[in-house]
Amino acid sequence: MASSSDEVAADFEDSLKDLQINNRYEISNLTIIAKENTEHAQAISEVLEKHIRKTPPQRKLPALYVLDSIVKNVGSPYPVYLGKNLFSTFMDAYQLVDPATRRNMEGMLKTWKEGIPNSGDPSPVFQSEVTKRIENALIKAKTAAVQSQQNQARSNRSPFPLPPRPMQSPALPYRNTPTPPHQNSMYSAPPPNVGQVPYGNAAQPRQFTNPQTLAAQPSQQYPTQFTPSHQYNQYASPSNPQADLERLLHDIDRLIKTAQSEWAANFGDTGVQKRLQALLDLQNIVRGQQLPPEQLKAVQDQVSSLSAQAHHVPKPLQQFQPTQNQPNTARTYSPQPLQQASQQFQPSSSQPPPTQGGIDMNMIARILGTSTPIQQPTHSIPQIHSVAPSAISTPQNQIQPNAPPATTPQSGTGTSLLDALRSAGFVGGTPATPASAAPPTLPLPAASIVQQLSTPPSLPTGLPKPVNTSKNDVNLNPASLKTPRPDLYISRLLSSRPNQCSTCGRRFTANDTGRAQKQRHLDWHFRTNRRMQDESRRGQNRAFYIDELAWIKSREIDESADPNAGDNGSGQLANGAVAADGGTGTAGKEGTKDPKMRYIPVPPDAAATKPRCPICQEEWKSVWRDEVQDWVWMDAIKVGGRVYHATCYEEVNRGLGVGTQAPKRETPTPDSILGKRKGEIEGRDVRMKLKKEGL
Amino acid sequence: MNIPGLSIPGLSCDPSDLHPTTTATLPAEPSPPRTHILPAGSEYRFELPLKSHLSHPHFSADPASSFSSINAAFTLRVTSGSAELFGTELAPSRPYAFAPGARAAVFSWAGAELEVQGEVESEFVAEETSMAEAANVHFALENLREASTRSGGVGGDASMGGPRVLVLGAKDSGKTSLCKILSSYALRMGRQPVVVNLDHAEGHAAVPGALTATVVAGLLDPESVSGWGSSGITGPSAVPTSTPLVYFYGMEGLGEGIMGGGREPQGGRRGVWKAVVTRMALAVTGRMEDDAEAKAAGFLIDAPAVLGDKKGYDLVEHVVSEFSVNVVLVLGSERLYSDMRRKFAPQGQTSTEESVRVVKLTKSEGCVARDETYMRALRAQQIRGYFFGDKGLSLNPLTVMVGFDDVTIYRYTEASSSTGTSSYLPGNDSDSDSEYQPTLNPSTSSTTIFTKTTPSLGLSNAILAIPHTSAPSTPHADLLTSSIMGFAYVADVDETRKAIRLLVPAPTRLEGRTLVWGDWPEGVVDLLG
Repeated sequence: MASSSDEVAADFEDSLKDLQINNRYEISNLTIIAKENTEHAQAISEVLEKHIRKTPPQRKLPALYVLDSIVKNVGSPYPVYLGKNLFSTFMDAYQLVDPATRRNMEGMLKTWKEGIPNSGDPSPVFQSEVTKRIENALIKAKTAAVQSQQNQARSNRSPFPLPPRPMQSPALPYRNTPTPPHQNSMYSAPPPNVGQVPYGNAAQPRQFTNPQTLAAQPSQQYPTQFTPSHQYNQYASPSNPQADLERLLHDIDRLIKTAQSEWAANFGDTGVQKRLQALLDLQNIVRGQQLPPEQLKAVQDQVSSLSAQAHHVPKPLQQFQPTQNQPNTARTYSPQPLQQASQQFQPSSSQPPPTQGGIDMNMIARILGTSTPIQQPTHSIPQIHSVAPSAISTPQNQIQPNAPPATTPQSGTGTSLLDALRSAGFVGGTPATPASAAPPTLPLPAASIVQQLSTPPSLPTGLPKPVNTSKNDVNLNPASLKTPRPDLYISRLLSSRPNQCSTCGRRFTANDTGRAQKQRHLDWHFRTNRRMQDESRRGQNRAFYIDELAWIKSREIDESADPNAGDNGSGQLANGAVAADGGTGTAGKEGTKDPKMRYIPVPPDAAATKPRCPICQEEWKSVWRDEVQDWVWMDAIKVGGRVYHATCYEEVNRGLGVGTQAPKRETPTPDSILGKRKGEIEGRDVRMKLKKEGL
Repeated sequence: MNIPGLSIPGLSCDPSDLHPTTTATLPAEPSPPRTHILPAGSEYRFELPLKSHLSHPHFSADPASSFSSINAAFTLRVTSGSAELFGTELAPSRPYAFAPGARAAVFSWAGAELEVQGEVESEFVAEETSMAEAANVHFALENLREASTRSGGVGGDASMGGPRVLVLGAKDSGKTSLCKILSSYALRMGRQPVVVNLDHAEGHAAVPGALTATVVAGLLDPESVSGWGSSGITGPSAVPTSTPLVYFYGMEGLGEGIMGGGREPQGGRRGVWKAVVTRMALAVTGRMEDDAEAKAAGFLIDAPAVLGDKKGYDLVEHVVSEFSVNVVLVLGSERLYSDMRRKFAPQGQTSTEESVRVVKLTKSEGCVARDETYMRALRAQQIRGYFFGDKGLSLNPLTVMVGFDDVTIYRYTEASSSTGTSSYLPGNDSDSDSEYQPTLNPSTSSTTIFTKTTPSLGLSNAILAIPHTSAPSTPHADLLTSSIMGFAYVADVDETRKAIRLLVPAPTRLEGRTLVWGDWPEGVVDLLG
């Protein structure tokens, strides 16, 4: 067990990669691994964080559940390690997943604020600072969403998925913004990052920063690694550069306005919408949070460069007016991109026009400067092309080619929050090295961003999952065998056969066939039980085993099988057995069916003579049988003028079909009867159809 | 991160187990019912104490007395959800009673709540199970079955038939449990697979020493001692019984001391075993050709532990070739896996339909090492169950007196010439370790496998196999590979009256029959009290 951290981590990572759905089994497995290797907690935590960051959105929740399970079930030291980056881990994931998953994540977050269940320890799973920060971010996102929704409702857009909440500021029609579309498009570029901005409008006083000031310190834009706790502290420390902030907000505002007007001009342009949204988000972030100076500067730099590009002259805004109109206006439009993205209405063709899109992408990539890998492979190449030229054509060349687009504002409001945070430098990643980026490299990141914007990755790939997993695609490859498929098992073993026998647990399908089978099966239970009661006073014996030939010819007959359908098989069996014996079977002729289903009409003199089965000495019971409209004796067979229980007859004869000579009974059950019977049966070398007893 | 050796149920603490479970020592009965929550994907493992002295019935005509043979001190009930025992789903709300010494796991795919009552040696809910893998194997096999049906049509000559699976693994690695799970799942899909037990250490619905082939249908009785249900009885049974084809290998070991088969003469243990396997394979193949259902489902072979050892590789080869095995499941052992791969599926070789696929599976954490005391008690229980019935089933075996001259008793030559006739060495806790050191006579040839034996007191308490073949002309080859119609227990040897008193399961005529006396399974001293 002296494995190195690397090995353990690699092992853990492998297992993590197999985790595709929320599978308790797998998750607890991973938890156990984590528990057994607390000495490698750091490595495991890193792997887990990395995995959560990298894995496709539909797998993020299970991965987060692993995190949850580990901190709750294993405890120290994991909460320390995982808490460090919890904010980014959580928020990165949050913005990429669909609304349902978000709700799950929110539920999970809630539990983190409380003590571990059943542990008796009231201290929260994670330190309250950590969770609070996430909560704050979420609240902002929600508020923004609500605002968006309201605006949207006003503008008769399709309703936003999040519940509406009252909002203060009325929306201003975007058409009022006169900015020329072309320029606007450039501003709208940083959509995902900026997207959160508008939320702040309602909540907080604006503080704007001068873009120029910001631009002065580009190096601080992107702290390479940020740690949540650290960040939190940064938040906590009030930032003095109020003026900067104001300038920044101002700039953002301006960009927003431009974007708005652009959007006004290009109504159906979703790219612009997104940019707008992103800008709004950014605004919100900047406004809603007390960003530490360096982060502010980072944002400022971005914004200022944006505006610079937009206007080719980075001119600070003359005066910032805390007009509610603008943000509101922005909000009006912002819902649309969100919604469209989340609902996937947007075909890739409806991507923003190349020029606009290009700028957006550049902005995004630059602003984000994130380490988050591309979540989804770009699938539409044409799109890339359409974007690429535009990106190149844009005046800005600062996109860092290798900075993968961090975020995809696919759905919901939380989407761009993180981007914004990232843009603020919270999220680690390589700082953007604007000037060095070569224009030709632009297309790719840009394209992928566009892609992400247009196609929310989580939903399309996530939804069909359950359906797929119940498909039996298992083969004997090690990898395939290691992948748990609870859906498959449950659907095939349980839910596809919902009709369960309460006596033995056997399941049947819900269709007519299944019902008929179950009926026969229940009949069998009933008959067996009755016979067992009836025969409880009679001793039973272990039957002798049959020989090879008989075994080869024998068939297991399912008691639920259709007796008619089974006729062929058993008939063939009986014949085969007889033929194999070379003997003359008399029972075979009558016995092509389940013995208990054999019956004869009640003999006319039965009432008077009260006959019994010669073998079990049981009196015959008359049963009304609908099919023949007559009273019959069930399980009856007439052999040589005597009527036996068919099952009794078979049981007795089973031991006989053993060798060339019929073994003599040493102690026959009721002597007198068997004595009489001997002459009739024993001489015959009859091999009966072999059945399972009690069928 | 699995540490298989450390996971002894009852000792291991499962970290992921959030649910309070009672562990280990519990108050003696009567204990109140306990509730266990089974989250989806977890299993409840329990071990019941072995009654050192099983209460046994005297075989009177009164069934009620023999009913007491197993007093079910432990019952289990699924109160909600769905749970299964080795693949067999348990009926909701019905109490299941388990025999003393039972060790099993109740697993749930979707979550369940159990109510248990009675004394246990250990019990806990484990969330780490290998069930997903087992289920995957099942569904992979199911795909093969479907593929074969598609390609050849049911019963068609062109049909390849279902997968022919051999399960290998060390002792107590979960071979039999895996076979049960795979069989049960196949049953639940409406299949009727053939289960071949080549492990004479433990019977499948038969006494130890019996090698059986059974077409499973209906249901594997979870309450039965072996877990495989019961073979046919002469009356109704609440749970469908099986109709096995039975052979007998009446020696304890398989010549584990011998590396490879080459050095061993034909009449040696391996020779005997291989001959029986060949014969069985013939019968099973015959059944498969005759029985479309069985063919479509394929078969599962439960192998003895020695086949999972380097010393047993020649036996593996034999089984694979005789049964045309095309899937080898290796439980746990990496070395065995790579050896099997080298042997059957060399790398670089394109896998054809004929090639053998070797698959490695994780050994379940639930596997418990069973010591010799336990195994011995288990064997005694199986023998008792054969005659008297286990689990509420009450059978009436009978005793017959047979004269020394009325029957012919053959004994394994090789075995009788070995160091001891009593196969049980109390010090040994592993059957693969308790090897015979047979002083093999090189002149021992296939013609002298058996020697005729005059009954003596040494025969007391022995288990005799009753072959279908009676009085073979050449005593050996036929007798060796004859299928078995039943087993008899030597209750008494009366040397003065020259008669032996035999316990037989059902009325039959023994005069003129040949009986085979093996060293295995060891006699049960108190079977008749």
